[in-house]
Amino acid sequence: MTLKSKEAIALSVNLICAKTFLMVPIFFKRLAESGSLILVAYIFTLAFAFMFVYLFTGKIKIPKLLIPLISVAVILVCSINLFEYSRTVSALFFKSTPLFVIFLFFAVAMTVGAYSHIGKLNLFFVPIIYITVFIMLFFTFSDGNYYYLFPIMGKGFKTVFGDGFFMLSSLFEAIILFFIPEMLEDKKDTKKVAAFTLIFSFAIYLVITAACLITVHTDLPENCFSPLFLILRQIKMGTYFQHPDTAFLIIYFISSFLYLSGMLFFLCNIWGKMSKKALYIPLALLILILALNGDKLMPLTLSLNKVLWVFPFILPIFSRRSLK
Amino acid sequence: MKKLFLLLLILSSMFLTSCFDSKEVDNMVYVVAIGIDKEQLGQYNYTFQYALPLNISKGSSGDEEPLQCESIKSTNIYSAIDSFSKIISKEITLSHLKLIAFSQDIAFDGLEKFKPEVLSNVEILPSACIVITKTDAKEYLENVTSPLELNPAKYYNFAFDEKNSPFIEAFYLKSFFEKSDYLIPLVYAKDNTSDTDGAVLFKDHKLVSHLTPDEIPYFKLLSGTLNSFNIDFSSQGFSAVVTQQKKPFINVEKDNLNIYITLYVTKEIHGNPPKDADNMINNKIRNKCLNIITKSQSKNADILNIKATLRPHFLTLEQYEDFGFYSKYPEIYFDIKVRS
Repeated sequence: MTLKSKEAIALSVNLICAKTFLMVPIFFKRLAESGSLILVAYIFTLAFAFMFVYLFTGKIKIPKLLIPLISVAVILVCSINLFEYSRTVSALFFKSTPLFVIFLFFAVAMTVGAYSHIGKLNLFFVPIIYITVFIMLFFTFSDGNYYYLFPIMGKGFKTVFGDGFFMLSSLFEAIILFFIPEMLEDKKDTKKVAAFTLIFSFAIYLVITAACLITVHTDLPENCFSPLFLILRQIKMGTYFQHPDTAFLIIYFISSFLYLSGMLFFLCNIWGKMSKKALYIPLALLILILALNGDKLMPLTLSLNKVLWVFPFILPIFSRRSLK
Repeated sequence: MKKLFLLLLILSSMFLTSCFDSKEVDNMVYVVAIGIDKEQLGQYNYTFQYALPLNISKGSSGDEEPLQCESIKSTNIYSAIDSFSKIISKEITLSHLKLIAFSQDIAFDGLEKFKPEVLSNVEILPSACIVITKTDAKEYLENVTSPLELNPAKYYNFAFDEKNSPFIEAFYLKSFFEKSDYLIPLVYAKDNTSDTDGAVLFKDHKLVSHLTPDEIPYFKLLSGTLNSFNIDFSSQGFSAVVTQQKKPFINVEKDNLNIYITLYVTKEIHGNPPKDADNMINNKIRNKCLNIITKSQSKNADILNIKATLRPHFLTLEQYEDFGFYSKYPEIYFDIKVRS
């Protein structure tokens, strides 16, 4: 299956930004406080700089040795996110539904999504998701206290630029950009796809993190599962639309479903030019089994976050070497 | 064939799970207000005011009241809800909760204990109002029966909508989340309706002072939430309707600790005003606002959130914390300009 450039942009934007529905903006806030905006700009600059070396100057040739390593990382990240999505939906909306049913729902949705035309699905839903998010956040910005975006350096230079470096792991899904040329109908569009994906993703991260800063000023509640949910609950949208939760639930479901489908599609397509459809169901089952043991996987997340930032760096380095 | 299979799979996931955790309206109890009073031995008396949908549907023809109260003694809200559900034998929902009333005894001890209790409950919307009752919270809730509005949840929305009256400064649950110094309306029941007696001032979640109803419009003017209000100069033979144009501009001189607040208002003067009526109105607004600020400075309670306005003057949070705002707040020089 090949993708058109717009479809590829929508797919990769959702893969990178679906984590804004999970805890990533909260991690930014916990790490750098009001310096979160600088942190977002910093990690996107780093990501962009390294991808620029690869996508804009070099030829596309990924060492085969790295593919199994990336596949394992993608499976783990996908399982952890499947666990997080299911747990959040269960805790916020479907308390009486057994967690297993929600897991199964996501796993089935993931497989169905990967089988169908993932590009068209993303192109249709991704603009709807993020325009809805932006409309809802508009109310936050119109009523927010902008003083909480300051002091601009938050917890200081060392925390923002030193510890913040490892937050590059939150952009792990951006490695799809290294594989996107193989999936594109027209390989000449690679630069366009990479540039637009990074610009759109940066804008989405920046807006959601800013909304998080101006809305959630003090200590975050212990049972916080989703920063967007937390932000939306603070908004009072008139007398007749007092429950933005419903709109959140719909866009959350669609975004998480597209993320999981996209990851599965990506996982099966990095092995070669031909789509490996036969792999969809076994890999979905593997991800589901790992996600069911999500509690045990959670400590692994911390270790993974210290390692995942490596991929966007080593891919350009190894690929450049392979050219020589 | 594949497409048909996929379509069937998607449709089956929708139709086969539709009634899995459905909730029938008849099986629910909608709590619209919770009152909390202090009891002995670390216990609290939780009063749940809940709607009776059948009586609401009868409308004005029905003699029975649309609200009912039930009190439970407990150490925290969760065990109180459990006990309440045992009595009522229905599922309790707090998603329509509009009011949380604390008695003054609790307010003096501090509200911080209740912060995690009410905030961690996902069902409670952050737009729920918090009030302090002059009498017991239980007595207040038992006497307020929303005679003006059939829908009790809607009644509390109207009663504490700050747009409806210049004398109400509503305090929402979401503000409880953000601030430690604030104003909360002081309420009491009068002829089956809720009335306010100004507001009480909190420092570190503890009640420290009181603002009279006359002071509330000036506080709202300072915080930028006022629509309009009437200033009476009956001895001089005129009155003026003052309308807030936009939020006040706060200019901070960090080094000298001077803060200049500019209020933007329009005035509509009625009666026979003297020549300097405009100055008289400006001076009255200025003095009243300065009185409120002096009161808050005497209690070291930053109710105008001046601390936040200082944030852009620092580069890092460490520098901002080292500044030690609260040790300097009582000494800050404030001046107010009123511009039409």
